[in-house]
Amino acid sequence: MSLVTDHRTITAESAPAVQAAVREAIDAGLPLIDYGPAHEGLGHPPPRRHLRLEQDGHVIEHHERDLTVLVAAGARLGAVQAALRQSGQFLPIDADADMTIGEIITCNVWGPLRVGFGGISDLLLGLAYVDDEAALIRVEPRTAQGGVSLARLFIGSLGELGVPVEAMLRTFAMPPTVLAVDLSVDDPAHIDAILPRWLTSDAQPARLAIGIEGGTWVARVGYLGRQTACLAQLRALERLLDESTGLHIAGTGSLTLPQYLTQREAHRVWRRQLPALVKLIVPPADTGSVCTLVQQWTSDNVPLMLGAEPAHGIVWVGGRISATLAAELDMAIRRITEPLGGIHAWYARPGGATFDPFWPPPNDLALLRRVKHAMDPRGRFNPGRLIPVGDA
Amino acid sequence: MPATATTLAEELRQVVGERAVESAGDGLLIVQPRDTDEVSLCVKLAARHGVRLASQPWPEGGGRSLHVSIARMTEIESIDVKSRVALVQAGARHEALAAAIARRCHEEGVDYELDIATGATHGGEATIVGTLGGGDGCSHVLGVEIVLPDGSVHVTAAGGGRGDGAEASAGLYDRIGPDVTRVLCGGRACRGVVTRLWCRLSPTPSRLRTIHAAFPGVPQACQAVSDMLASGINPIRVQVLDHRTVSTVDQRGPRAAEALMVIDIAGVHPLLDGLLGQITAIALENQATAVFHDDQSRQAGRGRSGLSAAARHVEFSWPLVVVGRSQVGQTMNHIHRLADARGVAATIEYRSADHGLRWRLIGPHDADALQLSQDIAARFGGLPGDAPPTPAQSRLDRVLAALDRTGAAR
Repeated sequence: MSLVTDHRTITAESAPAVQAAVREAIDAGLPLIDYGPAHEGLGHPPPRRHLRLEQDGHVIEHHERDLTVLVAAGARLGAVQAALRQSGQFLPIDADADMTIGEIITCNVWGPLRVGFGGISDLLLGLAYVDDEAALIRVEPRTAQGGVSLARLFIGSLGELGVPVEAMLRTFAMPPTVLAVDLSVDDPAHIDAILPRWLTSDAQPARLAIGIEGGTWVARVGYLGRQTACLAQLRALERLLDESTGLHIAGTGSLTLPQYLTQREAHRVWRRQLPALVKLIVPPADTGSVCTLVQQWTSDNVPLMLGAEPAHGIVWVGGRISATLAAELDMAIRRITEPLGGIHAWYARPGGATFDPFWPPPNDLALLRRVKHAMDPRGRFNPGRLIPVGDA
Repeated sequence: MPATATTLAEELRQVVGERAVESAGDGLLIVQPRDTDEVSLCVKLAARHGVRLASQPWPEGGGRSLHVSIARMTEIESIDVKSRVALVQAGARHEALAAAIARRCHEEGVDYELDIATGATHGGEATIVGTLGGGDGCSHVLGVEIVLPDGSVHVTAAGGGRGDGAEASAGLYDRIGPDVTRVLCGGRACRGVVTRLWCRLSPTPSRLRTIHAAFPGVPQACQAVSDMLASGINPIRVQVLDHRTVSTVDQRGPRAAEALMVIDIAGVHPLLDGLLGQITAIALENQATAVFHDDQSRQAGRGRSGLSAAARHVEFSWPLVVVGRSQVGQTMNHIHRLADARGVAATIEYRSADHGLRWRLIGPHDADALQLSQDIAARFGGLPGDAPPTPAQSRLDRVLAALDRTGAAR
């Protein structure tokens, strides 16, 4: 979404520089905005007058034996992966190489690797952030003292609670090989049927996503590990599919992890290119059936791109559509997801779109307002992006 | 009893029934509601009478108080193995939920479990809300329903109801916005009453092995842990039990063991065979006197439940301290030395999932155990209330105060 704003951009490459930026915002009486380059369209647009913050950075410390890395929030994922690769390690995060670690945290970016490695909340061990008074707050790795971790509150906060400047993350040893398995899928609902058994079998994948390619559904499965273990899992998958219907192995291939991650990034590049993109969140057991219903809508109206992460109930829908058609799609999605208790968020809305970027509003919006008021009482950080501006 | 408290008791009885309100002395009333609506009404009555909520069912001093007991809120409302979520009232017992999940999984031909940290379940006797604990103790929870001190009811689980009106949320695996659940649950939780929980079901590892290795002393066991982690092995969890714990807890362990290392590993068959050989070699290099293993997950489960049963006798327990993998063995040894010096039995557990060390001290409820807890806390994290709060803790307290504050329900 193109934002018509009246702003100046501050680039910060260190925690003190971010503190200086916050102080400047305080002095100017302006909000400090950082939506992240890949999530400009996520949420309500910022106030017209603001200061814009962009962070840069790099790996600060890599504790190889501890399998942890301390990175600047402004570090790009691609650069971090390249640095870790020197030591045979990686971050199991499905995000584009140009995304910063801060953006990954505040926008809660995860993908199909969550099946095998968990999401960013499982990887985040500690965090440093700059608060609304420009103080640097270090949230140490979870200790005996506090129990709960303030760090996790920043995950998915959309940058409304403070500005993350450093993050301590878990790393993993790079697997010797990746066995990529493509399945042809007659009907995505077949995935719903097989998934409960699949996830509790030896065939449990480390990565699982489905999408439409050339008009047919394809499931892309990844096994990460030693060659013998991957092949054992492939045999287990073959046995599982023998007992199922509508799923067939279309191809397999061995890759290195960097090759695999690059390939996967290419498969989701459409999510960064299309002017309309919406994420549906539904119960995992309904992912495939929701895909089918959305596909029916697209065949009746306009071709759209579709992708899904069935293990966690995520469906992505995107296309080059007008604001009017996007509004119709929004209503169609409501009709499909509301009976299931589903929700959706627009990551990009065509120019002129007036419908709400989030539907329905979060159940705990009243609590979020209180949290926002406690962490950022003057509304300095990304005000109104998710939490309505006003009294808590 | 003060006149106000008497009036409150009468009003509470109108809400929950005659037998569900009792006086525990010193101005403390205990009420046992059956559902969220009753909890909300009770809390609002307390607020109207200016009576504070008590977190424990005993007088804590400082005037009139009301403890809301969840003892009657034990319903397991739904178990959806296909979407891997269970909805329960907060007072449901872990043991009952585990059994219900197993029954449902058997019907569906799948194998899921509630993935709760060892020890949190207290041998199955803990309530589900009681398993939240501190640290990452709420990682198995997708969201909660909570009644705040102003009586307002909030749901942090994502998603709307699924149409029948019974469920306030579908309990989705993703959300929009930050997850307030992480703040509401845990060691420094707010004063609200958690009434329902949406629990995540995790696949039971299809192949899980528990390896026991007996050592002539704790230092050798801890060195074996260090060597194992340094070699890149990533177990689900590792425990080191000292000789006092071995003799009281693990009846299946070697009687002569001065220390026992218990390791859970999971994976596919070819990988497990290799890992088993590696771990055995590392244990023997560190003077292990015996190494044996269970290769069935059910057997391994029994081993863990034996340890969990002993947790009922735990007098002092801190949930978590995070150290680097390279320091795990050394830190375990350090805590064991502190425990041994004071004659307190100790079990220390490391979980790869969060790099966290948890320790349990099994011993007399006396000054030695208390002093030991302070020794450990001084070395690894500090005790709540003893040390000045860090800036991060101050910010967290500010958030909790905002959630606690009494105001109009929204």
